[in-house]
Amino acid sequence: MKLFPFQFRTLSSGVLFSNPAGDFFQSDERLLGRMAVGDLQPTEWAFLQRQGFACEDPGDFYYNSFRQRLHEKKAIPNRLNYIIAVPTLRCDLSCRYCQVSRVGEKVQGYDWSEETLARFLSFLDHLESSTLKLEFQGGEPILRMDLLERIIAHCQERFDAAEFVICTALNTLPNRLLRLMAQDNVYLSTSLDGPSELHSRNRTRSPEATRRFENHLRRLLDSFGPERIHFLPTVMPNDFHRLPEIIDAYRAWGCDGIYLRSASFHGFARKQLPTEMADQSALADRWVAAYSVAMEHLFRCNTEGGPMIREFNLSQMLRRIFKRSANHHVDLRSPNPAARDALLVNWDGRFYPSDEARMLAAIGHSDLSIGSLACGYDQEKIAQLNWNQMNEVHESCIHCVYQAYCGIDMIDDLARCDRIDVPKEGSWFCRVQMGLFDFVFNKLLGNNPVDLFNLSGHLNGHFSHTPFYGRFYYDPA
Amino acid sequence: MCRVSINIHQSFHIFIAPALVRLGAMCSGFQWEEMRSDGTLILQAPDVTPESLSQQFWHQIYRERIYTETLPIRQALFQSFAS
Amino acid sequence: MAGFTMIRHSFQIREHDAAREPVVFALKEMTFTAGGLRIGSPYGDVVLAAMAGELDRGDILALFPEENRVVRWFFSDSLSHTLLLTEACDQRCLMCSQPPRPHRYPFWKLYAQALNLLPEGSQVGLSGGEPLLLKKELVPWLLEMHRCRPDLTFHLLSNAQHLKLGDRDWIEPLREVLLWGIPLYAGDAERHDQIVFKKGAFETLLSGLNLLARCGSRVELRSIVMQPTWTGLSALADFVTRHLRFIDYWALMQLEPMGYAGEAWEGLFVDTSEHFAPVATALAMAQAVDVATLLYNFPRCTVPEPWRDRVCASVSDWKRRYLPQCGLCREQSVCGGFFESYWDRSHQGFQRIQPL
Repeated sequence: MKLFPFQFRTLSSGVLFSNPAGDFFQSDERLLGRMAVGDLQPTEWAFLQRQGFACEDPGDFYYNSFRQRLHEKKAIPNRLNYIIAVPTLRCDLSCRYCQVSRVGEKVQGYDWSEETLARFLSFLDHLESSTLKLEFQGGEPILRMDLLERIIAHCQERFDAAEFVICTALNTLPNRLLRLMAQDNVYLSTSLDGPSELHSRNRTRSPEATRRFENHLRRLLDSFGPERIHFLPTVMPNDFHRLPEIIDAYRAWGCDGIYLRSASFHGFARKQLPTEMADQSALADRWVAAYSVAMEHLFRCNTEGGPMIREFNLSQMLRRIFKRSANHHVDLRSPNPAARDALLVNWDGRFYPSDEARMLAAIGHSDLSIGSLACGYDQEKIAQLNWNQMNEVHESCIHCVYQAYCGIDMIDDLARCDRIDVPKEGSWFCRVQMGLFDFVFNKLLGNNPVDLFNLSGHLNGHFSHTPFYGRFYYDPA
Repeated sequence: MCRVSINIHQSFHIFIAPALVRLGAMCSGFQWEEMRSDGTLILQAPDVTPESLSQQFWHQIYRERIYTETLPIRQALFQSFAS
Repeated sequence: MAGFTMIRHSFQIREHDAAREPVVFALKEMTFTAGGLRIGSPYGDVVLAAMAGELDRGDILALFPEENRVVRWFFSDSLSHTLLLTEACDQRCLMCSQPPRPHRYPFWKLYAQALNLLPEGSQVGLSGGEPLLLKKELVPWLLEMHRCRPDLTFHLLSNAQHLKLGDRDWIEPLREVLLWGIPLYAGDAERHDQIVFKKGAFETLLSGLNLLARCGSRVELRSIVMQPTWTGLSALADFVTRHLRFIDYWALMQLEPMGYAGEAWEGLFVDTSEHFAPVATALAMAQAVDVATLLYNFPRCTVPEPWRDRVCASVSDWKRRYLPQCGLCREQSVCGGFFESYWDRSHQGFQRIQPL
């Protein structure tokens, strides 16, 4: 018998074991000690084989089964079909934590030119994919309704199936936007920081402007429903303790999802709160603690009836743990090749691997562009990025029990530490993910009906008390 | 300061060095003394219990050993995807 | 897919002309006469002991003059057809609806003629017993059929006990058109072997499945929900969702009250209209990892609403019946109903039948 590679971690309820293919179970120190030296009883070998941790010989049934699961965890779609377009960096709001370093509404030279637009459309024409998800970011993209209309019209012709997401602050609600929304594959995504007073403080800077925004949001929700209108908060460190309140505000709006997202260390946020951002570990621990409290609140609310809410981080983590090919979310996958299935095209026509990558470029921190519409891909730079986005070979990750489900956020490390070769253990991303995965596995292992109900809802979309995973406790006694 | 002495079977000796390096990086104030001829190692660290210190040490040893001993199968698996 | 039609309807011939080689033909003309059903055949008119409406124009029939018999192999109005190749089997499953007998039906040439008459894109079921007991003849026949009729697909019901590494040579070329229906009853060897009454069956099955996975074959995994599998369903689901994810889908099947299952009904049947939870757990575990599932032979109303989209009308038309209260049901047209043979057992059957 042979053991596959595996990792472990002590949780409050015992020792959690996992392997690179994503299988997991729980047992105790005694089994760990014996596994470490390969001194196992036949019943233990049989258990490990069934659980996906061992095989008789390379090439046998259990080996191939492991190989297949490992492949599923690692297979990254190789067709570019998710593009973020930034047609303008201008914005009519000035949020205190603006992470993209927007420029003023009247400033010139931060929009796509006719030439850039033509190149972008031609770039789309040459994609291999017959489907596309196109997200418009800004700045405020609805300052350029003309560009949005032309691009969307082009894509409706060009692709068999397309989805468009317009990310807007909704400071205005032009009729042209409403007309665009009449096409049912156009979605809208906006920011709502929660209670009105919080939203005013962070974003609009005035109660009147917040009321105006809320009127716009109400009108859109009434016309198109929560399926087409999404919103998400950005939470500043001083407001971490207000997460339950933010959830309540979302419930009051009748929405079925929320993405609890702490402000990242980009753009204006860097200048706003340098001291609070300085100690990454402490800040990460605070975020994890606040998240846990908030999720207990959300779980409780969901069992009390009313609209069920799902939290995006939790759904993503569960999908990474259970689903066969949940390899689309670039923040939580490894390897994470740049420009393979997702790409950002900035206001100047340059390519970036992600939204955060262009934020670093915007403050002159580091140039992570990987080519441009005019010159094509910079393959050398893409290869460099890719080698640093693989937790399979990262010294800090190889022993981590959550390695199979997690990713690496090189760009966040760059933003916070100015370099990427820091030990991950103390970094914001690692510390937050460790905490969040601990939260998830403690829930999975806890066998509490309220948790089970919520976990199933987050994984599959429908909330149910039916268990969706088998027994995974091994008692060596 | 917590101080523990740990007796280590010979089959683990080659994993001691990497385990100590990792522990040193992860826990500040961690120190060790040279191993004695009887296979005993003395570890020291502030703000931990002896049980926890010794468990952390053994976990690092296990991790190094598991990683090393399962490396061939890991490599074979990943190579099989490449071919 | 699903719909697995059984098989042979045989009609006694009352009058015919000459005794010659068996022949296959599509039914074109028929008239009902006092003596029976008069049909046209390549050997002239034949009168059958059949009722009007039992046969249809377009049915594909095999005429066996020496045995004085006409057998309907394929129905005209169906896209899925089944050939019973043998009744012999090397397993003896304790709920087998068609207990093994040493009867083989190796009419390869006639089958080829019949297949050539099928409409474009038909699915041909190949059933037993265990069809792979005829592997030596079956394989070349399958390859030849695929060469002549690349539009046809095949659904082979097999216990996967007779596959060797060398079988890659024919499994791979057929992988797009051959769907394997393979039974698995437990996630551990002991329980599975007991159910199929063959020691070592589980181990052999795993190596067969391993081979199919490596060939990229399409597999329908079939498990029966009954008392001997009931307590092991969750462990089975754990096994399937971890080790058999390459399958196309996992079919959970209610019993057909025929053969051994009919005889031992009380000791086997589980009333899933009252106790569905373990089935739901198995379905939820499969859903969690994105393994597709289907429910065969479950009357629609006996399945809780969240899982009702998994129900297939799997009982073939000619074996399908409905209960008196089903007349009120608005979903009868998409319900598989009950096996004809269920009638004798209905007092020990599903207790909760509620028109939808």
